[in-house]
Amino acid sequence: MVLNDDLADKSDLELVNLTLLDQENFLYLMNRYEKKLLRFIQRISGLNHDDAQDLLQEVFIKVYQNLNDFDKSLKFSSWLYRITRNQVISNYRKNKSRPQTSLFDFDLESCEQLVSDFDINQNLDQALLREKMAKILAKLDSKYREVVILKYLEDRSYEEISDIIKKPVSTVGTLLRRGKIELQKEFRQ
Amino acid sequence: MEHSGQEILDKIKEQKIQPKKRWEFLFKNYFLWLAFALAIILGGLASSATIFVFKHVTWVEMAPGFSPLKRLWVNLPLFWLLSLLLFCFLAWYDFKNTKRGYKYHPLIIVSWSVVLSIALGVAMYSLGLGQKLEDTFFRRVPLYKQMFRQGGRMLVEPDKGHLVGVIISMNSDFITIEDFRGRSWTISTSTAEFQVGQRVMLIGRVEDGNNFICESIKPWLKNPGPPPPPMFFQP
Repeated sequence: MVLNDDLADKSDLELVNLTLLDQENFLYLMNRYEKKLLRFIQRISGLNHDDAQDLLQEVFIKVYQNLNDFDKSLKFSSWLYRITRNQVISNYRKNKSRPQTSLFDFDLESCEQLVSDFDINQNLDQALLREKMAKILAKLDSKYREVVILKYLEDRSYEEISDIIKKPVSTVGTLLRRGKIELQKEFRQ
Repeated sequence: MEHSGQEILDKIKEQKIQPKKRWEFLFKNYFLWLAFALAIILGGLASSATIFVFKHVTWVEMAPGFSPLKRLWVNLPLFWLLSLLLFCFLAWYDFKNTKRGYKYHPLIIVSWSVVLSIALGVAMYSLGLGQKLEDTFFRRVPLYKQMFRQGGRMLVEPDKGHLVGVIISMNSDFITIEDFRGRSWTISTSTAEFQVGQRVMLIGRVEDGNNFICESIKPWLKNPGPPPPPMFFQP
């Protein structure tokens, strides 16, 4: 299918409505979010690239099936992230094995952002710092890890995180604060 | 395995996957709201029965030797309080699963459910529903009857001069009651104000065998009389 530039410029909501009229338009939504969601899946699940790709396929099929359930008061991206998170959890339960929490695939910029946001003062070179941060994040309790990832690596607002994990904004704040304390504690050790 | 968007789209077409109909999601959401409303109404009924029991028990006057804690325990409408809790929990569960229910803290949802149930319960009590419900449950629901009798057993102490039970037969001179431990007693008393099936409390002494000399007899739950007419019928 040849992509049409006019459609590629449409808003998410417009593309949702167009997809409901013609399924071919779903391709534009998939192209727009494919990379972001794949990275998010890997970050919260620790799955390798191939498994994350398979999961992403399931996510997009689920999104397509549930398009009529999209609540227009939400950001489409929040709804997508919510479905993705649920699919990761469901995949984890299905396989009954803890997801691999090996090293995170996150760039140096994100790592530096985390270090600065968390007031962590470390005299390590950048590669070591990134490795240490990845290890600590992987060890962090999953309920804290997902909000830390959404806030500091996916750059989501409190409101959006609340819509993604379906918890009140006040709970998101509490989880973030506790996650930050845990992370700082681990870093000092 | 790498899947391009086009590949996923081809799979959707090949497997003839279609978006679920909008009405399916709307139905689920309306169903949850309906279940929430139902839980609040049932919580209201449980509250009205709780208010009725609390307001109309006569045991405080009848058993002066009991400690306040024992008095409370004997007459605590545990069944209704547990029902109220259960319906408030169901209301919370239904509400949190509605589209935007997750935005509210569970404590806020539960508090509002309790407040709404009690407010509704006060209205239902003033219409006489609390009494009707309590009475119907005692007559028709074995579990409730069992719980009620269990609580009342503490007050079945004929040697100490008090009895509680249900009137099983009566004439102009005698009434027969079955106490909450299952023993029958014949009581010589005028029975004009009582009826068969009513729960009563007695103060007196054992004469011999199954005869109980009654000094005072009162209904366990005072009859509140007919409910007042609605406000707009009052002059």
